[in-house]
Amino acid sequence: MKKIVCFLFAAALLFALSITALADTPLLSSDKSDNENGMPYWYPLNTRGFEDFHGENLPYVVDDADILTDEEEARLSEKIASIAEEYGVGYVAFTDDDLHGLSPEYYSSDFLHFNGYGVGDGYGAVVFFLCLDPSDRCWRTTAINSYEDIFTEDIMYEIDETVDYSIRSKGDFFEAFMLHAEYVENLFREISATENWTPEDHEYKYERDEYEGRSVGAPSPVKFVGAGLIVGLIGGLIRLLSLRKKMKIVPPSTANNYLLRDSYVVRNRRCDYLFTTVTRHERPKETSSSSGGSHGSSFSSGHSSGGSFSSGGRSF
Amino acid sequence: MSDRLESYKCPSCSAPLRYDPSGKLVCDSCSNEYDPEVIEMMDSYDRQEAEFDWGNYKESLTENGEKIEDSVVYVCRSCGATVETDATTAATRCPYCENEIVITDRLEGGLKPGGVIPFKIDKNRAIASVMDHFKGKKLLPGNFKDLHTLDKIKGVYVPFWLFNAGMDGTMVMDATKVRMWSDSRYDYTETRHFLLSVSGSMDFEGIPVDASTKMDNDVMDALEPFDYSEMVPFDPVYLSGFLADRFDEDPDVSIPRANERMVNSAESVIRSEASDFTTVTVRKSLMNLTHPTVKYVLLPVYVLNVNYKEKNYRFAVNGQTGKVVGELPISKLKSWLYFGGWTVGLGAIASLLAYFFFR
Repeated sequence: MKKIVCFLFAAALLFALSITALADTPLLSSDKSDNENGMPYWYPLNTRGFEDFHGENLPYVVDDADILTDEEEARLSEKIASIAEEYGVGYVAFTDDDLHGLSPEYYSSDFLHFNGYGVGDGYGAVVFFLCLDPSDRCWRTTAINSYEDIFTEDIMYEIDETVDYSIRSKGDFFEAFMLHAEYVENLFREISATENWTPEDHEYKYERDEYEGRSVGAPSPVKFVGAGLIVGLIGGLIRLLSLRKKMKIVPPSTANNYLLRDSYVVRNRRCDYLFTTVTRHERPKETSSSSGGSHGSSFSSGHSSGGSFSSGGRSF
Repeated sequence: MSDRLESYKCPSCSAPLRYDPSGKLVCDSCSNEYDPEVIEMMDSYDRQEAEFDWGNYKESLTENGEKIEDSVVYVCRSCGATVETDATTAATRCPYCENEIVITDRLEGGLKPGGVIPFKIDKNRAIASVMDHFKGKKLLPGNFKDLHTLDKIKGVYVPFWLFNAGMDGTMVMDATKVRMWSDSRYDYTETRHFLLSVSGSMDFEGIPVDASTKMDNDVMDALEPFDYSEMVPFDPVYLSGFLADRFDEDPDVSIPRANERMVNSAESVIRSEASDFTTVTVRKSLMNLTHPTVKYVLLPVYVLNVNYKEKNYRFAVNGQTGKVVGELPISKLKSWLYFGGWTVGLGAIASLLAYFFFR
């Protein structure tokens, strides 16, 4: 009997220790299949009472949507690692193709909180999240805790402008990640070089990128000319057709001129109800398609970590 | 009704309907219930067909067979047109093909028309109308207006059949009323379906269809309207200085064109009774003709033939109102210039606007 009690006590102690360990260590090392609650593998089974922690040995690139090649992943990881080491930044690139019913803002925020990406006393962190969920293809830059003061709406807008062309026009996700990393690097370089930096100190311009020597985010002039040409072609065609119509004969198709107006008599009008159909469609989700994106300050969902975040991005 | 019950289909999903002891026809597929009387009425409408019987209208047309007296009959050797005029008018050219015409004394005058609208505008006014018609036609070849052929314009009394008839029709329509609302998650659309039937009657008077094979039907139709209040009984004196074409197209050939125009108008009028519905789809249109009659008349038309680049362009001027109808030649060069100019001009403006607004 004593042996059984000891065994049960030891088992309970082991279980309690494992739970504690689970809360304190990054969950990213786990198997990538969904957990038993149907949430992603890195999501805690119980989020009640969650508090931010500093994770260790965290990866800089988590490509769960598998859109980057091994080489791209290595280059991006190297780039972010150098930023993190030089400026002590909590920064990660993350992709996924399933939001598990959450909004991209909450999903990316939870990713930072639950994996312990926050750094320093303020547990600040930022993620560039590329979402390929078929119901909501988008990108989000989400900052948590102390980083919310850095990644303001204006900064988010500048980031969106920076990566927009690569994602929406070229479909080059790797380029977008690299541009994002460069932007974050420049931003933190500026912060470290400026005493008591505030977002007002930032000059809202972006240097020409290293890939194509173009102004990042600014649509190509060829696009404007192309769009104008299409409008011109349509307008020219409509004008030509209207001019040609004037050259043709248009015979009347009715005999309205010969209808004796007073002769019209309604003999019978009958209206019978047949049936009713009611259809319903889910209302479109509000997605941020312009600057800044959506900004949240608190969680109310039971799935969330309980922390705060700011997030910006666009759909594609 | 019970004999046909098995063939009744649900108006909503087309599944077979079943008679329920409650007295309704029930669809087991979509659970809708219908009043048997309504379903039977729908079925009965679906099986009916429209009737367009012009009956013995010809009796009203040729009851006395009177001919035009003391006329001179000309025949065109080229196109075969037979035109007549009075003894004082000398005609040398066919109004349709501009070839020589000859007098024949073997033909008697044509059927005396039931009425004629005399020419109200003179030749000079008709020429001015044609010149006005050319104005603003930006694709017209530059040298087309310079052709000195306008003085060849000829006044011709064109034979027309005037169709008079009543339309007694029923239109059966599938009509809907749509209501929409939303809550926090969904947008809802409620569509109520109705069977709407409207029966009405109306009269048409004087639908003109030209009775000459020489005149293009579309041109003559587009030349309308004529003011019938100025129609007078035929007198050969009206032929003085003008030619009169003889009808060579039987009313039977012209009836389908009159029918089509009457049905379109009648449907449009009856359909306006359903303006309080969101959507209306015509399920069945049953239009029947009543008290049809036909009248043979001559209407005044100036005809001008212009030969341009080996193609004949015929213009007709309403001899009463001055309205001009005729297909015009299109300059390919001008077409390309206009298209290119508008494309480049509009494209440049659109590009600049796009640059300033979206850069």
